[in-house]
Amino acid sequence: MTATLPDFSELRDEFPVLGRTVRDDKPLVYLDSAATAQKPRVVLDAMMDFYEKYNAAVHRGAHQLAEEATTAYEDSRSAVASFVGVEGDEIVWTSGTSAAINTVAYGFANASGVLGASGMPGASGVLGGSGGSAGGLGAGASRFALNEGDEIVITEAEHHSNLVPWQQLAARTGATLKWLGLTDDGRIDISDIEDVITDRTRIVSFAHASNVTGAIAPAEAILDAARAVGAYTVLDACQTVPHMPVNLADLDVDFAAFSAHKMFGPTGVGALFGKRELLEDLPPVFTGGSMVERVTMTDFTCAPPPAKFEAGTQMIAQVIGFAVATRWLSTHGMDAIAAHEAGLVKELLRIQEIPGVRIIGPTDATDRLAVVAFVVDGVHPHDVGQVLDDAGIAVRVGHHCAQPLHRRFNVPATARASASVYTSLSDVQALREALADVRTFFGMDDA
Amino acid sequence: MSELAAMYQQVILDAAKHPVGKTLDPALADSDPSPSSPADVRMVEPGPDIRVVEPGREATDGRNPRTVGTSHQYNPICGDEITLRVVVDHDHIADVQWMGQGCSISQASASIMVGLTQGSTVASAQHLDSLFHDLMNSRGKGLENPADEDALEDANAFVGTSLFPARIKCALLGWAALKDALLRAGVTL
Repeated sequence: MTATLPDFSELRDEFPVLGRTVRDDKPLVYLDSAATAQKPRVVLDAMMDFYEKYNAAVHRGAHQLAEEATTAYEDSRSAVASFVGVEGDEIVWTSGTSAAINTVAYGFANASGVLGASGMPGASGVLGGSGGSAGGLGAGASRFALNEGDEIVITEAEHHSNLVPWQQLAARTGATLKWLGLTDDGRIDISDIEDVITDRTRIVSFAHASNVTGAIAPAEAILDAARAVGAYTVLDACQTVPHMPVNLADLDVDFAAFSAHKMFGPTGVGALFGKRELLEDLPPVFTGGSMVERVTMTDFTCAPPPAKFEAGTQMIAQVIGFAVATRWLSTHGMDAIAAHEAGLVKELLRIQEIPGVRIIGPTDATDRLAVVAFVVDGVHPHDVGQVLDDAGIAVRVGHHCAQPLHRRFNVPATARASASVYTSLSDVQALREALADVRTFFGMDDA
Repeated sequence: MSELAAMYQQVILDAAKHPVGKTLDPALADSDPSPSSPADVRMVEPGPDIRVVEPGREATDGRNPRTVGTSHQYNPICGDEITLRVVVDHDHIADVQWMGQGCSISQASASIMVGLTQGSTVASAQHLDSLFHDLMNSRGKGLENPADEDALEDANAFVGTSLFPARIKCALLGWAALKDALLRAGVTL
């Protein structure tokens, strides 16, 4: 069955880079959007506009430029928040998903007193403040304190950025890191979820979709299990938010993270979502300018969230570009985008018809993104990528920052093709044609 | 010739398929002295993950003790790895064997390197190592001196790899292993 696509050809023209050629004048076939997405003109213009017309530091200064910049900065927060169905003050700007997850993990570490917090002024500090707490550690911080015997649960599919921070937190607090395994077709195995998520579980953190297999996590089952034991939930949503409707309020997660650069915005900015009452209690990681209320020579009180987590001058142009990217997505509609990509998934999965090509992850189109990792029998992924590159096709090769997942499937590396809203059927066709030549090029027997 | 064809010359594809000296017994590699303290780490570039093995000594038939060094090199970007064991007898390489997995460039380069250095003097291996680095830095131009080209023999085929900055490390992986293994065998480089 051939998938039918909405007419997206005009949309494609909005992306300047897609018009270029590579490797001896071949048209660019960009199938690496899971690594980073290309940017539409409207996002680039918005950032340039900021620098050309109202560049100023936000939340300080009484002049008109500062006022315009601050308005744009906070309007952007509302835009990004509403894009994922939450309130503006529940969105913290970070440098990206990794920084967002680390903000949560280090917040727990701070609350656990394992980062030398005992040397910090405590909640008994002399300064009061309406939204503030002395030394950054309010009385509410203790809810996040981890101890020996506590458990943190992740999955075997995680990107290193949702794995290593939890390893670190476990090592610092004496908590134990546990994980849900994967089935042979790359789905999260929840058959033993009751053994993994238990009364001891304090945090459950997982990727909404794998950046390698493209499999969408059984989020409801995992979140239900976590809530049943009173664990905090953290969702790495950086792969799903650009590709399907995601409503964090409906999902009822405690924290979530996503990056602008994977959703047609700039690099250098991402968002940490946290439920308001949790952000109020979570200790900050970075301290300094803008995150405080009152400061004396010996103490300080925190500003209310989200400012509490935004020390220093922020990435204002990028924040503005981020919001424009979400508006751009909303204009086209996440349902339409998801439908477009659902058609691409089916075409992408047809690479398994090519002799020697094996998909790592779900081989059917159900509950998966248009992210397909594969190996070619007898040819190393790096060599596969090189041949595809010569045909103008950009894919990613390597372990995609998910070494444990690759170990699970006994492959050192994979090649990965990932589609997006601007990907056409002819892009996928070009991939299939070039892949069909790979084994011939390397002199494999069946060729 | 396209850049792709320049990179994957037949001699490279052949070497990747039929590697030379890829006969190292894992048990033998494991039997070498285990890593010592981090203070003993001797870095050789590009060396992303060098595990130190104390220079060991291997008795032959009661005459000259020969030194042995084993190096494990790992490229965290792509997961390629090579374990190479060298036996040094006075000033020459008495034996070199390796095992590993990775892309055709890393595997072919290690194979061709072993072919060039098996039985050679340590000084010659060092000289070839230096020439091969020059080749990798040549951005597709190759070596200027014909005598140097002659010395590198089949390894000149990797001139195409030098056009692709992301792949140069692949070609250097085996050479890094040899250099490190020689150090571990107590050779002063």
